[in-house]
Amino acid sequence: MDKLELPPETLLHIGGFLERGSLANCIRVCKSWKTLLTPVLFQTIDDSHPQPPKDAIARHAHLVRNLHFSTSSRFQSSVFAASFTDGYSRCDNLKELDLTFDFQRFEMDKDRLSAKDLILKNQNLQKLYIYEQEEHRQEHRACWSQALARCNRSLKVLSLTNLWLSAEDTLLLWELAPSLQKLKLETGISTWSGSFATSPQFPQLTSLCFKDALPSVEQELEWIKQCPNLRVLDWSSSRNRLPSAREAFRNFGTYQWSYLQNVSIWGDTTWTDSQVACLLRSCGPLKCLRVDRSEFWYRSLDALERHFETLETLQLTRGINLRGWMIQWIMSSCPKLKTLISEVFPAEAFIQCEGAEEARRSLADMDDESDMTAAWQEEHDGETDKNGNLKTIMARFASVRDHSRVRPWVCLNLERLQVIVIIPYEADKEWDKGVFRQLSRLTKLTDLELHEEFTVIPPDSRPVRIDLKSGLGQLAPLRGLENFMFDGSEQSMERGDVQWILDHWPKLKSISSEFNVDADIAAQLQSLVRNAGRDIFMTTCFGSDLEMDDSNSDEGNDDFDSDSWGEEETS
Amino acid sequence: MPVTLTSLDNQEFKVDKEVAERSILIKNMIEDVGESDAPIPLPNVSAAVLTKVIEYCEHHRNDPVQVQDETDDPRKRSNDIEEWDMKFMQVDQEMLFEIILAANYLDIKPLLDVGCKTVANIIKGKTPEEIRKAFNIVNDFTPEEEAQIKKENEWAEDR
Repeated sequence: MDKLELPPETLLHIGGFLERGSLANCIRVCKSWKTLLTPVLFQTIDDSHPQPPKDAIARHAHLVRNLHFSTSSRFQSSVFAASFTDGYSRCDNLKELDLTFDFQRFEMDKDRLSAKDLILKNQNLQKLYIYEQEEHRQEHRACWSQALARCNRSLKVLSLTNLWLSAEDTLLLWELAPSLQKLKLETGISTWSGSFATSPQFPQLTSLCFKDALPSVEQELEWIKQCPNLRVLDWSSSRNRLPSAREAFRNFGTYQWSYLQNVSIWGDTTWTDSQVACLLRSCGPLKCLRVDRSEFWYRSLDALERHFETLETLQLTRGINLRGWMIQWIMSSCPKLKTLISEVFPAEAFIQCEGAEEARRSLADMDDESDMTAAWQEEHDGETDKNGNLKTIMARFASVRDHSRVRPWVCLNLERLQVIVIIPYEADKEWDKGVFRQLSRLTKLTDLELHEEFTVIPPDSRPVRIDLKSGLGQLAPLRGLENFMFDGSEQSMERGDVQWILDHWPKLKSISSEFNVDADIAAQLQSLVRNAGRDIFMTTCFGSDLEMDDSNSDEGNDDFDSDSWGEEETS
Repeated sequence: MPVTLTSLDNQEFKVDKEVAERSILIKNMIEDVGESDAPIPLPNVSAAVLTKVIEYCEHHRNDPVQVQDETDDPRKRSNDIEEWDMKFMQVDQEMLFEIILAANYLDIKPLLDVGCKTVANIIKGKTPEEIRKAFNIVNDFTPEEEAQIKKENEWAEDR
């Protein structure tokens, strides 16, 4: 066979797919590979251990393009501090600089200054991530504002967490805004309570994350309006900020973000039903919607319909007024749905079974909205009817409500389902069987969480019973299930149930639950799993550490730093 | 409307325009020349390789066009090859390299990526000597040089 050589640019391309261990091996292959691939090895330096020796850093500093030191690092601070001040401070060709590591663990002032110098030295920087300790944000204000003032004016990605910026410092953003594609501002602006005369223009911005970013939510909205190309919006606001979104957006007019496809509203903003609807009408076809702690009622559902065909991820948590039949309507209307996280789940959807008539009636009572309507109508009278007359919308959905109970689910590609199934307390096992029957159609599921949360569920209801007697066996088609979590003190799982799970779900990696209340039986179950030779992470939570609230807010916080930053590209 | 492609060894291939235009080179050629029945010569690609390339383009004819995002993560992964592509790339090494070269010449970025990822996966976990053997490369380092380089890069080695 003739020796076939790959051209240098192709070898470089291949090098881009190799991690550093393989690159180190490739460099030892021959002279031409060494010349070509050494720059690739030093191109991206992160805080993995061990670090290159100091002399190697010094020699190759000009080759480093991406320098990542993040808070998640377990890397020994002293080693890093040394290489940072002496070695990496020589880098002058950086494209990305991630300084979200915990400065407190280092010789702070010295390192902060070198960090600042590094920003000044690298005038071709395209991505910059800075994180400041909350307790030191005030004393280091000047350092960071100097760095930002002289930062590359064609910066594409900027992420600032806990920086204590004055109004004056914030004006720097007007200069950086035109080139920015991604921006994250987290607890950014000081308590200064003024307002800006104008908003910066963000013609290129595709991804925006605001977490208590500006002095008021109104201003945040004004800024967001300056982003015509926005694709991802991750917006949260804490309770103590005034005015709340509810007041600030009383006249939230229609505005078009034609490309917006990924929207998350978090925190304590508590948008009204009408405001959520307004936002939903302003977006392009959505792939991902997360609404936490805001109202989601008739108007929102009405506005969500336009996104049914494209929705892949839907999270409606701690939602005020969300109804079970609404979720059922969504599940029978969104063919592309892959992730559904919600707190109410319509047990009535499952109960196409005999003997449940009485229970069905009691559930219908639970869902009765007539008494609320009058009060709501009153409260919302002040709002313009741009989202349509509430009465008309409710009338339209009146038939949907009944109809939705018998509509089959179309979201058969669902991979992740995290819900609370509400069953009347006195309901018989037929109810549980109905639930399992319906779930068994979701054969693509990898993550299933069935929760109990009494703040949402009426006290006269209970979670679904996870055992064979109640119909667990019907879940045999879920062959791909990897993580299964359920909670509820009612659960009295026995050996046979766990054995069944072991036998039928070959890919299962974790089971978490509040198994019984009896620690002995829980231990028995655990040993059963161990004896089966399966590597299943099994937890029993007697406390409340697996509450939904926590997992939700965590998710929101993680989103922006990690790979999921540009979810529009990956999904 | 079909387009005719002519390989290095003068074989003609009739393919749908949509399939041929997976290649940016061909797409640009068609745009430059305008509507024409004349075959498009591809003097750098043999019939055997072109057959494979067309098979790939047929299968991916409806894929959305990749948008180059400059803000993408620079650390790319090679473990995300989809199943069909993985099977498609199960060819001998000579063919693999030929496909990569053709993808490079024809400017078919997704195919180039899949090819390079496949090579990267071959390299992974191999010692320098095993890599030389796999790709028929002559070691042109002196033993002293080799020891020196090994020492320099020890920090990066997998442990």
